[in-house]
Amino acid sequence: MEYQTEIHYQHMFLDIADRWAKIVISTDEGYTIKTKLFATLYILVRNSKESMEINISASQKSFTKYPFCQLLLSLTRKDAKTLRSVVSSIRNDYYKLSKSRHSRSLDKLKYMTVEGLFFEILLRERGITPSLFTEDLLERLSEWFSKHGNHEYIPFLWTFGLAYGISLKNEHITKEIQWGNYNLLGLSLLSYFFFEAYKRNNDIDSLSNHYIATKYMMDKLRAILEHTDNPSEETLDTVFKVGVLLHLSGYFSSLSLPNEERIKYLDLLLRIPPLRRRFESIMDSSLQIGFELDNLQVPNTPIGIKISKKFKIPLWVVALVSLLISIGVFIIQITHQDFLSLQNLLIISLVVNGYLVYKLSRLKNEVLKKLERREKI
Amino acid sequence: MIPEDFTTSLYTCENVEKFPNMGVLKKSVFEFIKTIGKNLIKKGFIINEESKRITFYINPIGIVSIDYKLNYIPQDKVILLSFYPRGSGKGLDPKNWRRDYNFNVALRVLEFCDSLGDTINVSVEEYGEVNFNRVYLNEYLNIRKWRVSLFGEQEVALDYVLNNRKLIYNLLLNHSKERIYTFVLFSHIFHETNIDRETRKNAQEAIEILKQELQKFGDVDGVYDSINFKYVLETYSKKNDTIVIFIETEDVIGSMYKNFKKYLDVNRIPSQFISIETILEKFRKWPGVRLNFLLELFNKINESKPLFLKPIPYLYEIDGVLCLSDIKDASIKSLQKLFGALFMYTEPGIYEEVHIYEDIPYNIQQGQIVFENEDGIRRLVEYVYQLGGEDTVTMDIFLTRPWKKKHLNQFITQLMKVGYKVNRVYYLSTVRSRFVDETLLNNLLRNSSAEYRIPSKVRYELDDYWHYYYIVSNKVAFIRTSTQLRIYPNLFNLFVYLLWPESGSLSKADLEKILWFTKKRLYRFQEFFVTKYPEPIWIFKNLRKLYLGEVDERIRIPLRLMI
Repeated sequence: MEYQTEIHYQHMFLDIADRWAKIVISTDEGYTIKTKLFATLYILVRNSKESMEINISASQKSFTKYPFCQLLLSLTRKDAKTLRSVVSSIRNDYYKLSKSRHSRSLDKLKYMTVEGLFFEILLRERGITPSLFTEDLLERLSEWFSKHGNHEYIPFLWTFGLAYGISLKNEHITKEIQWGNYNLLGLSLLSYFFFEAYKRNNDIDSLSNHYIATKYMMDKLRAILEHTDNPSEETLDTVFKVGVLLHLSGYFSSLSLPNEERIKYLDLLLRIPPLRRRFESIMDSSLQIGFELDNLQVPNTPIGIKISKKFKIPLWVVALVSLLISIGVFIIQITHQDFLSLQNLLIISLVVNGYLVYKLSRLKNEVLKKLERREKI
Repeated sequence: MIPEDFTTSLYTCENVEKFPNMGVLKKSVFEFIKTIGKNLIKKGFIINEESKRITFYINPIGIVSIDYKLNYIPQDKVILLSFYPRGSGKGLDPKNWRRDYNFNVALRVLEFCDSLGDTINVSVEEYGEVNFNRVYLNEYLNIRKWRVSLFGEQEVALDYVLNNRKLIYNLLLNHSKERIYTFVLFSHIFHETNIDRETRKNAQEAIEILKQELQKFGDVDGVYDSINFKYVLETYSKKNDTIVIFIETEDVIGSMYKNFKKYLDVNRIPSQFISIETILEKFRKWPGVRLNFLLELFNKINESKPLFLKPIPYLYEIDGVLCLSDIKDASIKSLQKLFGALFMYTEPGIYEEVHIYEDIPYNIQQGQIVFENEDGIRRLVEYVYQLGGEDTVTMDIFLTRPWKKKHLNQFITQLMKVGYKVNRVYYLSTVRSRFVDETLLNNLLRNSSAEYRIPSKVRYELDDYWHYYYIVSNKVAFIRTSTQLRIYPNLFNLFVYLLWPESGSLSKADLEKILWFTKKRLYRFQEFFVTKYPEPIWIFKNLRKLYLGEVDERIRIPLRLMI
């Protein structure tokens, strides 16, 4: 089934992006060049084209204030030569900003990091090398953000590294993500990088993070969708950027499934893998020390299931009992030659151990099955 | 349809080869007025030869004076002669003039100029004749379709915003749910035991109305006694989502503002002062006043503004505006000569500060800023570099007082050396040259029975979104920033003087830029058409309402708190 015929909020977003891209491109006045170019870029990615002619005048002053103006222009014009020189000049700006002692440099660098990573994805898609974010620049940025306490910007860098196989040397980086801290573009970048990381490493953690980011992103999109009559240019720019990223990440391929199937598929991917992983990790640790569950939740997300299970086995007791039985068997065997006592001890030992193994494995299978069926546990 | 020309009380004399002595010229103008004295007397104007004053009586103000100012613009060889009303000391003070009083007074000044005629030929002793021609206004900027960003999400036309008060209110309500705001209320009168029953009842009622309103937007704490505000605020974390509100009677609120505001701003605590009278009389009757209050509150909380006027194309050539001003605080005699600077960006969402420096030595000589030494200029450049917050910034400069030419050039050269680019320098004033004009009165006439000779065919063409302007010469222009008449200062236009570049000349674009900085104060929702001062100038004007006290180190205040 084609996604165009389905009714769902993801689809609505595509409709809106398509509609506004057409309006922005075809309206002569009223939109800045920046917004027109983002609309063009969206259409290019949407239709898998490389360049498109639009009627704009690059001399508009508002445009030159945007730090990525030339890059944006070159990306819509299949102009690899200019792209390379522009990329190198923008990279220099990052270095300049990171050395500046000005108060606004930090703000500008934060802004340019998020915005620049969006372009980085497009550059890599186009195979432009060297691209904007070299390993050295990534290191420098991660150190800079750590130093200034802007830890919320670091996930962009390590997830970018994860997506493209670059590992950061900075030891102070935290890999915890506070999802609520990010705006729409930030969330779509994280969603994109995690998806790329999943494709590169076949790593289920990245896939689940990709879907968590996507879920948060869709929640934010809803707010935008409420104001579709008169979106501001900032909103339109964001809509086009997010549209580009969603198309590039192949997220909309899941939309080709029938509606019911797609929801099931998204639901399964969104809920079960992280929960299953979480349970398994608790289970593994509990085999050593016992476990007690009040509820089960994916960290830092609202995704969870209410659960109440308690199974505490002090493993050292099991081990001690086994040891004592073994010693007992050994002593009896050497000293008393009492076959009956030995037999009794062996039977007791087997029953105890067997019962424990049976109980544990049954509980594990029961919980996992219920999770799959999404039944109350 | 192009409107007809509108009369003013401004006259200009162009191509003056040599400027006559100011005192002598002023006397000569008075002599000219005397020559048509009979005509004036018939119309109720009194010419007092002794005091050299022109007055008239108007009910209920009493005696009003018609004063005149002369300004010489040497670069353009132009002399400005402007007539304007002022208090005579024998009548109601202009600050207490109501809207209709102002209207009638302005009408009389225009009638006075009608009697003088369109041309004034003044004979100046040992100089010759100076010929002044009356100025008519016929060009305007229409801002009706300027764009406004609503919460950064939607973009609509300005008139749509101003006509959809309910929509803005509902948007504000929806967006307030994204964060948890705490409003901390303070009132001394609420705790005062020694007051009459009526005042107590009013205070309780006003606070209840306010509480009910604020509870829709967040948590409300208090009412605490204003006297203990510092002690109480210590228990609140200094995060941006806490807002302090003082509710007192009209006569107390002014002095409380003077005394408390500096502490609150320097400690970065958003605060709002509101009188019991405003709440009781206007909150229910005028929903726009309530929205005005809320918008001001939410503008003070963080950098992202609920309503933001989108930059007009002319603003794209600059990153922002640097405003520099000498500072006079609310003290009767200032303790120190303080100097203030602020940088206001044209883009939204950027943190901005006002700085007050105690170590820039300067004097005011003949109305001009003269720095005591070059070190002061150098230091100011260094401070501005820190204030700008970037390595390269392109800016316009607004000055609240002209600077000595040499010092201005030195300042600009040094700014350029550190990498900052200066685009234009303007001196903006509301007192330098004051005149009244018909355009403002026209709006009022729509709902008024007053008789005046504005042609009926244009009467209904005029619009509050039309800002009339007049470019006198390359360097000087006037623009009507407030298009509705409310209080005395609304009567006058904004005087714009292009001080730099020396070869530059003023155009419509300059005036539109300045108008944008005035009308960006969209949070003054109810007063939008009355707002007169560009926001940077307004902030320094606001500083004059505070007691700054002895300043021993630089004061830094987030700009959003000073609106």
